[in-house]
Amino acid sequence: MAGRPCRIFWEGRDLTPLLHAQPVTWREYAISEYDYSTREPRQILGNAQTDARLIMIRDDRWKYVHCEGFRPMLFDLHEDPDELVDLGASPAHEDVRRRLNDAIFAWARQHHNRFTVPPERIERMTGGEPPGILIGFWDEADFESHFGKPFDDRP
Amino acid sequence: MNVLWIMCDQLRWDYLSCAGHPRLHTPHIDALAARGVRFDRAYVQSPFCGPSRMSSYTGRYCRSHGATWNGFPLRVGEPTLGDHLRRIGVRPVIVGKTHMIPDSAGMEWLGIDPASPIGVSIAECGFEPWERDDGLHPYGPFDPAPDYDTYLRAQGFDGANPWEDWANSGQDDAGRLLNGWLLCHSDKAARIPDEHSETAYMTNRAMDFMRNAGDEPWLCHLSFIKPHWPYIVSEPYASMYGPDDVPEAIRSDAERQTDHPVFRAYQDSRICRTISRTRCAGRLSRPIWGWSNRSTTIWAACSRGWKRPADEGHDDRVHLGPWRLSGRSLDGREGPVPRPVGAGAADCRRPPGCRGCHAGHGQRCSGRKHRPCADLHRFLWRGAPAAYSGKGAT
Repeated sequence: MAGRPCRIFWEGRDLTPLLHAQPVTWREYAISEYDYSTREPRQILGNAQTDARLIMIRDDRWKYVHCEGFRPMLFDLHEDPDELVDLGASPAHEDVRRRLNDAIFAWARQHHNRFTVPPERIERMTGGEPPGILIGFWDEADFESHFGKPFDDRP
Repeated sequence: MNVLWIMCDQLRWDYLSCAGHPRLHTPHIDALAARGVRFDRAYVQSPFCGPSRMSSYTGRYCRSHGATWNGFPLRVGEPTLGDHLRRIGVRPVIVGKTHMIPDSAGMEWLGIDPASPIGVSIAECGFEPWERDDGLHPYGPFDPAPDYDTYLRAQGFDGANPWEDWANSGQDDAGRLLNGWLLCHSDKAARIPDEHSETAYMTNRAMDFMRNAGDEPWLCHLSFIKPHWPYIVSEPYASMYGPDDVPEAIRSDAERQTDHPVFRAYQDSRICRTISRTRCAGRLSRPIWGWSNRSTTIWAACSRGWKRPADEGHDDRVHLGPWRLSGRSLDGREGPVPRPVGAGAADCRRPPGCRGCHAGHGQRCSGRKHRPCADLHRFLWRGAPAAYSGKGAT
């Protein structure tokens, strides 16, 4: 039995081009999240469940970990591939941290939960109203000039 | 405890005498405000109807519930006010508008029969539909047959579309229909006598429910479409106020000289071009329906002056209307509950009756609970979200 199709709201990438040796555009960042609300460190810290969040973002060189309520961590993976030196408080790396924090913010601003309407339906909805809903028409002539038919011929 | 939760669609926050409007007199809403608390720094979560309502019904921001525009279904599985209330033995009933679009694909995927009780509940945003009516029934395929039409016909207001031709149209001396969708007719009186208007009808339906509700606790969400467009109203209201009662629009040529691409795109859109045309501007320099910043109902795309977009979140679009709690505290005291301090009451709110979700969903409501303000036998709140107001249209 084929089963009913699940809605598609992938945030992952299509790997098909790679199978066909076609060029792809790679992500600039990788992101990973961790919720330590049930772990002992939260008891030690005494912070709220909702704040027990870590968001990691890395690019080619840097790994940055946003730690809600605390300073971030930062590692230079070129110079320090084993991640032994935390540059999260280093004054010399403020620009790096700002850039990666901005990247997390940009990711956070994306839609993450809007998946009940497929993109093609949104396209069909764009620029108009449902039939019969007349928004912003002054008079019958205004209607006719927009729809190309007399007002009395509306749906 | 029973809850009557009244909502109006597209009523601005500042178009009430209790909110300081210089000309309008709104004695009944003022009376509610006088025995309750008025949240004058409350904001909706979206300037558009559907997303804002879904935030009201879920206690969650738009980014969380995902229904980010009108007609974008609230997904199956998103807990709503009604779901929370049912769990504590309160019957949640809708009379009027929710703008909820069923998540049909989600129900099909999960094998939920839309006609089953859970299917109906999902389709009605968690409410039991005592009378669901989103208040838009124009000619065409758009939800064409409300019970209100049947009611109107039974009163003798017959025709192909009683909602549009009686409740939302006027007529001239020759008996020709003056369709209320067209803004040039907004100053006419609707053909329907006020006692049979949509607002009166829905009020009566809510009273029917309350009379028949019995002893079981309930929440009745009485949700009016008006003053949402079509912008036309019956007498005596049609001639109660005129353009002179509308404060001057807040607008400036300076703000039209924007280089902001989104703002420019809205200025260039059809609706804003329509409202900017000379014939509108001349005729409607201070129209009752909303050209100005302080209008009774908001121009969908142009809430402040001629071209402020609905979607931009200007303060007059997102500022919540006469959102208020009133009622009797559990210790029997009648009267105002303490005024909340600062903007704390402002942002997201929990659904009424949801006291922090001790039944296990504590993390899912991002709204604040109002219980600290008062324990209430009943409360009336959010009479008229202004940003709803704003929202464009449907």
